[in-house]
Amino acid sequence: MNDGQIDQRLRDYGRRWREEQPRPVARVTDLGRQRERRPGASLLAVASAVLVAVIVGAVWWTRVPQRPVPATSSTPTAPPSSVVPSTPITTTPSTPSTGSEAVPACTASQLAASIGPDAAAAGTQHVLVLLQNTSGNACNLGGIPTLYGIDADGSATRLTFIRTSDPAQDVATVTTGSGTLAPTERGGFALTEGLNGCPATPEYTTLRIRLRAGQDVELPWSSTLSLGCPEDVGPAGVFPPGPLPFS
Amino acid sequence: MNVVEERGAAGAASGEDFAVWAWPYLAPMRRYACRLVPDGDADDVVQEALVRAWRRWSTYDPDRGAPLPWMLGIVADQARRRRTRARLTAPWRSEPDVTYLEPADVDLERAIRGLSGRQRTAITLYYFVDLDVAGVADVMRCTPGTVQATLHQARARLARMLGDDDE
Repeated sequence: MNDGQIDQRLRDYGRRWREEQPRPVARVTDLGRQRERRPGASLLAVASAVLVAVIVGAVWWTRVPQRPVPATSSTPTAPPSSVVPSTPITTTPSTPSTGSEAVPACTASQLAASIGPDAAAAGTQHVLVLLQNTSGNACNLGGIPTLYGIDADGSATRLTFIRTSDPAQDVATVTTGSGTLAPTERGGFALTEGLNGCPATPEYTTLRIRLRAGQDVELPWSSTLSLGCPEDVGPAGVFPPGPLPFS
Repeated sequence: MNVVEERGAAGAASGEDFAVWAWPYLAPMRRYACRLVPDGDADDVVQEALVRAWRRWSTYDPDRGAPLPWMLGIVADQARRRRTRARLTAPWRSEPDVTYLEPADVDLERAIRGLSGRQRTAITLYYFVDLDVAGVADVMRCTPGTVQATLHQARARLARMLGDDDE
């Protein structure tokens, strides 16, 4: 392999790799317009949400549309309005105080995952992924997880769901945002998959749900997840009392 | 009262100025972070880098270099700190996650990880962050000619490693 060939191979791989990275998506056009009107205004709101999360000790991020804004203990003072990783963000509703401030974030060992009800509508399929608190202690469930498909040989492929809290993409009654998950209570998040004209996604053996770094919950792959091209993954939250959505 | 109101109009304006200024650099910052730390940590690294950049913004001198290399340098620094912390707590996950798109990518990615640190940095910035040679030189604080030479050496080494694999 000569220098030109390896150069071309690197260029091809680099380009495909960049395309695979999360980036502002088409539906963010509205956000772009909003940004034009008030540059950074929405970001300021995000920053305020981050600070609130830091102050109350909530380690997890609250609802943000495109990308989670992790609250870290290393940001003791108000971060700048632009302190958002990468993509435009519109709103930021800092979650109202629900008494969950002192509750630690759920760890993987506290949660059991399963595939919940699904419903199809207008060319898309909404699938619920349930996370039940199997521990004896309440924990705080929130954020937008990262998903991986695990092959039979154990290799992990990041699934290309777009993280979103865009209200237009939320499934009514599913996206509750961060909240306290009492023992035995169920929460979860919604996946949206395209059906029409989408090639079926590969069948994996396991779905890995990365809550955050080092906190993975796994469950056997469900054929429900292989219906079509992945679209959105919404924020995790606690389901309100009563029947689950779609059930 | 939210943070913005507490900081007052002057503080908010400063934050907005930084937001507008930093906006174009977020995507390359995240790309670089994704190549340096595990996937789940990349957003944290960018976040920490932005906070640090904001705090040091008053010290940024445009006469000494373009903003992007300065920001990427902070990303690299924050990634290094995070990797150090990670090695202390979870040494098995200090390598970046990689989404392999094609089987051949596995070999190429493995080969890239076998490069020296400086070669890997040049390859990362040029092919993955998508900087030009001058931009890579700014980040690596060397001349464009040195970058060209480093890239050439890196490609030669990759070709040898991949050639060995093929045999």
